[in-house]
Amino acid sequence: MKKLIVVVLVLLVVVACGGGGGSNTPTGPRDTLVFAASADATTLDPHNTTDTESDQVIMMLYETLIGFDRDMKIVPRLAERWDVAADGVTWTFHLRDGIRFHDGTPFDAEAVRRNFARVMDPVANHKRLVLFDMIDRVEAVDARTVRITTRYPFGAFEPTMAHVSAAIVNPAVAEKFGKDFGSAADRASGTGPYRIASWKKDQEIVLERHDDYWGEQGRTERIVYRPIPEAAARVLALEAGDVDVISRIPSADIARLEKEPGITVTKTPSVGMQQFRFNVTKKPYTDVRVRQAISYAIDRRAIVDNLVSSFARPSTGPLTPIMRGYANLGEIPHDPDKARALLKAAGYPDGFKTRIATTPRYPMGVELAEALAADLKKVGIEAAIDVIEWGTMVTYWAGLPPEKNPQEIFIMGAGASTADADWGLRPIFRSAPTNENNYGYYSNAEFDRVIEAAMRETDAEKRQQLYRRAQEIVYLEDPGAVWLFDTLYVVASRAAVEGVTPSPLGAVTFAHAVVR
Amino acid sequence: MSESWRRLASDVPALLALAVVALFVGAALLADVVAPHDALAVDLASNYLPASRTHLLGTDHLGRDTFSRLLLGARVSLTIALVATLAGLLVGATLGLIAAWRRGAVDGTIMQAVDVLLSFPDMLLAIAVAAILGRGVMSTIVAVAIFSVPIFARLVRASAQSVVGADFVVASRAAGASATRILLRHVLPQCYAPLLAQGTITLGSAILFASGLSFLGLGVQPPDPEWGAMLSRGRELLRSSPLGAVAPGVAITLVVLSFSLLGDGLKDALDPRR
Repeated sequence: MKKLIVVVLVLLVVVACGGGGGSNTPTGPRDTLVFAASADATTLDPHNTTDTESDQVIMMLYETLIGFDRDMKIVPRLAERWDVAADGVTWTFHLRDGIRFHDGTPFDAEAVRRNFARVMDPVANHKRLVLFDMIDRVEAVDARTVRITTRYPFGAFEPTMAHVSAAIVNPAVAEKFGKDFGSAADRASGTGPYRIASWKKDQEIVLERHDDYWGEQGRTERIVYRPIPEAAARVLALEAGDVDVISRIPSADIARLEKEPGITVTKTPSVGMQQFRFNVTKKPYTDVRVRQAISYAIDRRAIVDNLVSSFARPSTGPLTPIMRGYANLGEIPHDPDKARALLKAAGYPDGFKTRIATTPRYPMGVELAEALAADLKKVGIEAAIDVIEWGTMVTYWAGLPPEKNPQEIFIMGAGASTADADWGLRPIFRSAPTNENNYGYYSNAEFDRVIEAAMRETDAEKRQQLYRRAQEIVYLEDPGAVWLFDTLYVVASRAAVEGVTPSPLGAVTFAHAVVR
Repeated sequence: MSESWRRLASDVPALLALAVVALFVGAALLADVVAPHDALAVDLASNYLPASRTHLLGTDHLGRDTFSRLLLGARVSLTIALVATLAGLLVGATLGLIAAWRRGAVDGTIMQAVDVLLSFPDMLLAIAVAAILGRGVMSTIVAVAIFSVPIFARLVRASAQSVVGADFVVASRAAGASATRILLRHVLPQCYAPLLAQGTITLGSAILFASGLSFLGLGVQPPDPEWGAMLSRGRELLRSSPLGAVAPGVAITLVVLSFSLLGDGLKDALDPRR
């Protein structure tokens, strides 16, 4: 009996010491970081991606020749230097030596050529084909030199080459799987700092460190992407410590999380903005004065200060300040009297009835429509609201001719994935017969002319002047949208997490992240 | 009947339920008078206010008074439930009467159609209706009505079957009364008691169902207040501003539970076998 008591006492002492020691001695960084995504990736093929949840995994697996740094400056990646000839169309990229794909295959100029052949193949018709429309040909000059010739001098060529869809995939693997490349863990191979270990659809994607990476090694062994679609559940998972990092946080929770000890919230100025577009083919939006009236009728300050203050700044133009080519045109003032006068001049002294289409997919999407309707009511416009779920909403934006599109005013989140004025203005406001990208059928002859000239202008200053003019036109002279606010990209993480890289493109990556 | 009333009066849960229902019906009827604020008035500068003397349940995203919206929402929810239940009852009872009266192939066809309807998952059916008719109050009513048809049809058929062979029915037939007259004057009254009980229960599930539709964004459209829609919009703010979701949630629970209890009470009270 005595013996037993002694044994128990000794055990207790050991356990107590062990416990104390465990909590006092740092155990070093954890080997796994867990990120709660709002949805699973749809594809890990950079040539076919159009959604952020896929992009941010792709950005860990693959790399571009040149890339963006945190301030959206162009920096070298797979290419160590590059230059453009005096003709403005011949670009030469000098590739880094000694880079290998995840399966050990060397990366070279031929791989680059085969990548562009793949993404630009009209038969395969990958989703990002149109992004590289300006490229005429891509040649491998020697093993470490690539020459890309554009069909015309293209001012936004560098940001286009830094776009996630210009990422270089392992051509042998891509050619083997064709359209199915990027659809499973064994069908994705790049040069990035992490490689894919497993992918259980809608459950988790596990990335592991690529030990042969040419650049700075990842600090965490495994990065896990766990989709949690319900925003409130994501926040709870972070607070409970089940996950280390989350994004797409409900706006009302942001302020609360900021005050919570143990949690760090970072806000990054982004390319994203929230607006409501006009279908300019629908009466009365054919009249520019009606669109201007609506622009003046909205109290943006009240909306930004009260409804979305935790993640928004008032719009100061049709692009956001971080974008190349942005012009600060100032906030549009709230002026109901001017709005009424414009309506009167347009022949609607008593206002009119209209419909606003919105979707809860955008943060505060429904509330924004309600706030808009309340402001419009004050100038005599009766707006009914249609809350439409995302799947239906996108069918209205899928290349319909105007007569088949019933929408009048509709919510729209915009954000050019090249962070450049060209992609931020040209596809969405240049005249087009159907609405593949120009969802509201916006059409302005001067805008078309200016935007076309700007696209071919390589002189930085002239280019900036042309884009400024284009922005003046579409912002308020002949408004294409009700500009509301620029969005901040918000990421929340456990305080123990360091080195998370939020991008102004609204994606977060973990190449240098660590959990202490 | 007085015996039934006495039985109901001694059923405490049912009486409590009746009181709650009366309270909400009163609120719905008098929403304009009782509501302290305009339920649709947007005032962004005073959004997310906590409960206070001026705003009993605080304010929502847009600075609208949650209490006033709850009252107006009661009107919307109860109206949808009442109209839809009555429509379902009318169609269901008619089908049940015809099935019981004609028997044979007609009975078989009607009841099989009803069974098919019953086998559809409720929400799927409602989403289909919303897809066809477009979202809004009208399609919500139609969806809820369709979903309540089968139960009334079965109930009326079962009750009617037990009396179509009864002597007084045979007698009025012999006296030359028309089928319509017999069904409406003699057969239908035999179904009143179970219909009243079931109708009350269905009102409750209709509210729940309509709220579910609005929660999914298929029902009542903003800015009109409806409990399910309020719950849906308030849910995201559950942690920071809980009243916006808790208030409509409690209202739905209370009313649905009350209708259900009241229906059960009525069923017991009106049961002739007791």
